[in-house]
Amino acid sequence: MRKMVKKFSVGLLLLVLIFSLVGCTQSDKQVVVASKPHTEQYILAEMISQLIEAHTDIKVVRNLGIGGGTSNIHPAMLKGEIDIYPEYTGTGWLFMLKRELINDPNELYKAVKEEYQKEYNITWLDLYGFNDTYALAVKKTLAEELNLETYSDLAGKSNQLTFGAEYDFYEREDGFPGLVNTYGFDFKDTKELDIGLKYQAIATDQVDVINAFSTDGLLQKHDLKVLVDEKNFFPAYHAATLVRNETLEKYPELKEVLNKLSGKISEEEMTQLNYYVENDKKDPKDVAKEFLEGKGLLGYGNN
Amino acid sequence: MEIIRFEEVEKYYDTDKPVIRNLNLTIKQGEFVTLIGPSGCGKTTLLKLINGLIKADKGKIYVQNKEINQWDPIELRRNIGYVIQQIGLFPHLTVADNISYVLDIKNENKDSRLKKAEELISLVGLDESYLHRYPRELSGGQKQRIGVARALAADPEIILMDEPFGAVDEISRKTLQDELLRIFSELNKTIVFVTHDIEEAIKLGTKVILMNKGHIEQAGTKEEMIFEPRNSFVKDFFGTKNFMAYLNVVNIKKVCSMVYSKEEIEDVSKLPALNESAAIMEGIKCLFDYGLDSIAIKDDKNRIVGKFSLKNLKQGIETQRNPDFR
Amino acid sequence: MTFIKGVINLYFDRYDFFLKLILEHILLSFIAILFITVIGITIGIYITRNRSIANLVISVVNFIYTIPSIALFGVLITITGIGNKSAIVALVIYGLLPIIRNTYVGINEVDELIVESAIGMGSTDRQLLLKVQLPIALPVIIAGFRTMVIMTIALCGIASFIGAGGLGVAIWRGISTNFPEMTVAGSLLVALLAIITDLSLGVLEKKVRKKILGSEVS
Repeated sequence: MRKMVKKFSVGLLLLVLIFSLVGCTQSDKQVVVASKPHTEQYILAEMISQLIEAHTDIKVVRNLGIGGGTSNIHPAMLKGEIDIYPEYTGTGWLFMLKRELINDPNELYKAVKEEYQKEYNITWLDLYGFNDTYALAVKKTLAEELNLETYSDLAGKSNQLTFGAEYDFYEREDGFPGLVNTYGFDFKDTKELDIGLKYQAIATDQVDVINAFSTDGLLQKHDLKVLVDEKNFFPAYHAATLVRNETLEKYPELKEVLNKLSGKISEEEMTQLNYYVENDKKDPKDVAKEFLEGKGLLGYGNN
Repeated sequence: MEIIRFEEVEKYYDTDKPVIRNLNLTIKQGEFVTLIGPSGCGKTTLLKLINGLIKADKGKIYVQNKEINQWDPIELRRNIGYVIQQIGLFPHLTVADNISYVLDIKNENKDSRLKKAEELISLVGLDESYLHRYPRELSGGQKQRIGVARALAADPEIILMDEPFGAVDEISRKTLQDELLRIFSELNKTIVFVTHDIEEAIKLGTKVILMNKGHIEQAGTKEEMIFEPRNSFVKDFFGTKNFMAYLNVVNIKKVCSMVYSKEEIEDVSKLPALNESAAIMEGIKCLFDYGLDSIAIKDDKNRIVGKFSLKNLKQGIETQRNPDFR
Repeated sequence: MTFIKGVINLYFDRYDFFLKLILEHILLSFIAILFITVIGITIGIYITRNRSIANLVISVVNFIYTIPSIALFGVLITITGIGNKSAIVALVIYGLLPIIRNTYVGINEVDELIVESAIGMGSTDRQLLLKVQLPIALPVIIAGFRTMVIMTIALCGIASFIGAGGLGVAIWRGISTNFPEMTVAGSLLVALLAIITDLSLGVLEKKVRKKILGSEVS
């Protein structure tokens, strides 16, 4: 009996100890970098983290893969639990600020940057240079065969082709119905596919066209071509780093360091990086490092 | 000297169903009081009123001359030994720790507790080697002895026992009863003992209390209960209906006939003799063993006190059937 | 077969990654378990002395238990934010049920005659609890503890969903980057951790049972 009481008091002591330890892991200079739970985000967040680690003496705490994505990261950022993460212009404008779509990507960027400053005290740094938006993809061979470059081209040949997408895409206004409205698609057949099986379906010719994201790694794997949305139906989702203003004030050096990514990542490059992780099973950390080194961005010693 | 007193005590479980009513009782120090009565008569309730496990609704109860409300309930219970039928030994403690539990809660140290346990275990007639065993290793009879030992640990003046031998086989029960009597005679305790067994009540109690429907029908010595019943309930309870109890417990001295003349004494001294403290049943057995009509009754100094025959027995029963109610 | 090979290779290639996650996982689970045990047993004991609210408390805890864990984690994000602290809150909320319930039941199931004996001999309530009820209830309480520990270790695997560390990071990474070997690698380690802990606690439970009840079987 006495043993039990002793064990409890020891346990309580440990409790207090650990609590204070956990509480005290806040060292002086540190930032929290977060990301959504997608391959591309892991890679971008790693780039951000490694740049900070290479060029400053600030400690980086990585909190990658936050479930729920933006909807959970944003409130955490406003609370100050997260300092930095990569975001997309379309997402910020349409889903966080809930405004009407601006078609021109540059205008969109300017607008979302302004509003985030005003409303949230968050800064949009320079764009990386790629657009990760919705895309329609066909096999490269098919594109050559039918001379497909744009969505309108596709619309012209749509009555010979089968379209495949996940259930949600058919339901969303900014999905299939909207596309049909804008481009006049008239597909021979439409199929409902599980997200995870879309690429397999097109690889085995069960479908001819699928919806995808423009930087999907698997686009490369299956030799697919992304067609051009010349009427700009799909919103632009240009990616950039978001930082809290408070954090920038505390560590002004961050701006320059993080803007080293300005315009440095093309769509092809991002797709390739995604491919390395999703297909070759490489560690996002390594992929990010190689990329940065290749671009001479890690430049050890220099600032 | 009075050690427990009940004054006009009442206890209700439902608003109009009294379990104890108008109860008045005095128990003197050194008495072995047996409480008996039909089921639901309130004997267990009365017992639990003494150590405060149950609180009275009306009336006053005095223990060791202090009114029960003046007692700190914990102190009160620590000063009263308590043994229940199912014993309630603690399975997670050794026999030694079980016995000395009261001392443990009084914060005595381990050594003195062990010493006391050793003392008590031999008092109840078990070997010291049992001290390190666990209750689950003991037989029913052994457990009961430990239960008694446990009640004695704090050397209480009063011991309450609620049908402690009820769950034990007959043979063990007889042994335990004898042991208890022996312990009682060695120590100067007051025992209040609840039982539903008339034979047990008569055998053990210096004072027998018969309860019925929450009040006391009669309280007295066993002879008074059997030979001087106060009303028909008492008479029926202890009377011829419980003939065997009567035969087995009442002394043959009560029913033998006196011999006065020299000739009678001479005749009787030729007969086989039985000690006056023997029970009537032994006398009957003697008659049949020897094939005689009568036997002699002698006292401890071997003097003739009387003569016993079946005729005496009949006369004794007759008296029972038509008692003078007092 | 190649899949399993892939998983094993992963362990070798990224052993420092997994090691870090294992340690985080153990630490997170341990802290949660500590809180759960202290809070849970205290509440469990309290409601044995206050039967009027016992039903209420047990109903509330039962109800929480039926909420799917991911939902609870998701709700907690909005209240306590992301990260380890939030995860510990969620784990503690979940882990309370088995401990409170088993403590309550274990103490109540102690034979009432034993309790009457203890009270009749003049035990204070504290002595009754510490010297009689808790020791006898210990096997039941430990069984509940064991359930709770395993559950916490498993649940901790989901904690990374809200940004906490631990092996869930690997599991979640594998899911969100289409990397099933990673998912399996993380899951296997969680399972291994759970099994080893369960076995060790099982030995402890047996020992306690033997001491209190005299038999190893319930």
